[in-house]
Amino acid sequence: MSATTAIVDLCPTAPGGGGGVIGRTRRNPATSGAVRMNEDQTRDVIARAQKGDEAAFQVLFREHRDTVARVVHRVMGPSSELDDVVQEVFVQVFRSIGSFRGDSKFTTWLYRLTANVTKMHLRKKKSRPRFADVPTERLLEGESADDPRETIARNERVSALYRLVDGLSEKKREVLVLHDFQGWNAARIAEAVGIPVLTVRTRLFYARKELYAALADDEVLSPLVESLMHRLPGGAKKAKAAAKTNAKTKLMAEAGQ
Amino acid sequence: MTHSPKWRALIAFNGELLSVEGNERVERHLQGCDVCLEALAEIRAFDEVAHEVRESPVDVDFARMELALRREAKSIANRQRAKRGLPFVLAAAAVALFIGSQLIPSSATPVAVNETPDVVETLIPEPESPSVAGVVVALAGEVGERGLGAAVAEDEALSVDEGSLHVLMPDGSAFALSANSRVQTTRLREDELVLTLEEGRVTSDVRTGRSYYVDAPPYRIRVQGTRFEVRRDGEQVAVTLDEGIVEVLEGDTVVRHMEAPDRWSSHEGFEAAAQGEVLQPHVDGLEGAALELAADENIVRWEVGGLVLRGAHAAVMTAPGDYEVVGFDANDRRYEAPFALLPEGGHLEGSDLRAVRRAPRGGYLPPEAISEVVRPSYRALQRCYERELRQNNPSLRGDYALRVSVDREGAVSGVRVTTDSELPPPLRNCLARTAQGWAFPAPRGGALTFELPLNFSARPR
Repeated sequence: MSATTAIVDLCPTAPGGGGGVIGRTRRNPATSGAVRMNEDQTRDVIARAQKGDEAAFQVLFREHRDTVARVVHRVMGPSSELDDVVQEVFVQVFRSIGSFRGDSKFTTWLYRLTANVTKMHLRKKKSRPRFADVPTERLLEGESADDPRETIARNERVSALYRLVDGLSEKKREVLVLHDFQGWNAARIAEAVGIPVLTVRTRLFYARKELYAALADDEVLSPLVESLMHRLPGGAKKAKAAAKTNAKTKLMAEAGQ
Repeated sequence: MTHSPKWRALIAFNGELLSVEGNERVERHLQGCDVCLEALAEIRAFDEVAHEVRESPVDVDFARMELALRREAKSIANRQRAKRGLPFVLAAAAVALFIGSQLIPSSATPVAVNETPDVVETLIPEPESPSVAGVVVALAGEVGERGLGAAVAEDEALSVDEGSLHVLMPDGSAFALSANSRVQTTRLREDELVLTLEEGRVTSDVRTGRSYYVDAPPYRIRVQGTRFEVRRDGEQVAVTLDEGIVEVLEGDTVVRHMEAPDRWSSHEGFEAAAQGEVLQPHVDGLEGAALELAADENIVRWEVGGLVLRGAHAAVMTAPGDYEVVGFDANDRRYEAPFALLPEGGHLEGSDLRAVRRAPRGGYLPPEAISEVVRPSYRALQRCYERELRQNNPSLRGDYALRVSVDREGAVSGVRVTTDSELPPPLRNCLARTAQGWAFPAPRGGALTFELPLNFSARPR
């Protein structure tokens, strides 16, 4: 872990005092009493947690909860089970911290554990019947003052993209999500996942290729593809032709009814 | 005329990574190519929605979670305290009895003993059996600094990034660690051997009737005279038993009693190795000579006297004598060299190997590997058909087949749609485009072509 990036609240507060909604009401480290933890402090906290020190567990949770939540959210997509999975990750961190030997960075170890818990959850979810996962009302909570229709449309597009991502193999999905949704570069993904950088790039290429081909056939995303095609040089002609064909088909269908 | 989208060029164009000339070439191509135009729109649509994903808020109630996690932390802390406290309590009681029998009359009031654990250890003899050490008898690839003949003692960490590491114990038992694996030699005693598998795969070949365990928490695999593999990925554990009997324990509970041949997995979807695919540990060679095998990157696997070692560089302790050393390249091409191993050891270079000619044959992919790639696209293929049905041809039906060519790296190099009737071009393009997106594992033995039959018919509404 870099000595300059870890942020941790070393002064435990009252229960519930550190809660919040990241991404919307993100806590400001400068005002929340958070201090930067160097490598020695990190090692010390891990060693104390390995001995069963409750306060050290709390420090680990508070330091890494934002990162873990963000990774789980990006991997799973919109889901009402985000809280449960993040909590499960930390339960596993607490139970397995004894097996962390410091051979790799703690953040790498934590990522692998997070990825495993999330993968297990996704596998279980695949075997269950599928329902609309997050009610639109929840998605709208706390959204900015954008046009609500645009917010709903955006959420539908995001959900549609995750439906396509669900069709990728686990390996390709992991690399694509970390690169394109989480914003990590190939070197960081290679280290976290434990594969060569070249393999990251190869998986990313094939994952994207698979998704690109599926976008045009998705009923939620195909209008976006068409509108973007319209804006490309020479695309207006093709988009117009496609629109004409669609209108003709519609008229024929209505006439047939 | 249609072609597959030029994805790499379009991605580079979209990311503004091309030279001015390159940009102009792509722009000119786009003027006359609907396929690439649509592909570029798809790339941009993906970028746009991926941006929306990155911007979407992460909504988590940490306060509620913290309460639950405090309870978990407390219970772990209590368990840790109990674990640390128990030996001390027992030891303290033993010390009290020891001192009592020597110094204090039996009728006297018991004395509270408040010794430190260090003092206690000096007073109580350890009823431990003698420790033993293993020896590295074969290795290949990236196995850290441990070389052939190195000793492996109790409480040591062994890890293998690529290749394998084979360790032989004095009683003839052996274990082999596969690529991406870490194991701790928790206990190496004359009467008991415990390996703790932290991740990856370890195969054991247990020759004697002593206690032998592989811990893969929360499970413990108890064995007596058998050959088996344990693999672990995080919380998931799987066992493949080739010979003998093992038991999988969770705490003191027997989760599964296994008799060979058998496979067991803790989680659905986490597969145990197939029977016969278990790595065979090298079980002899303690008195043998060292044979070193060094090739350039071309050779990826060696076979010496039935032992398989993966990696360009490998070494094995084996009995002196005549061997047929065999190497394989990434395309499974076979190279051979006769080699006389002398008692003082020997060294074989890749240049000593001679390629073995064989009749040319096509590549091979297991049907399940093809199915794993193709199955997620069934809905997309169905959508191609339904769109055609909806927009142009409500009575369309028929039997089609996709003839898919896969190159040696697993990429789709060509798709043909065959049919017994006329196929509308939009449907043909849509099916072909979907298949173009497939990426298979590299086929064994080179490129291949397979046929995927498709049977579409309209469902009554």
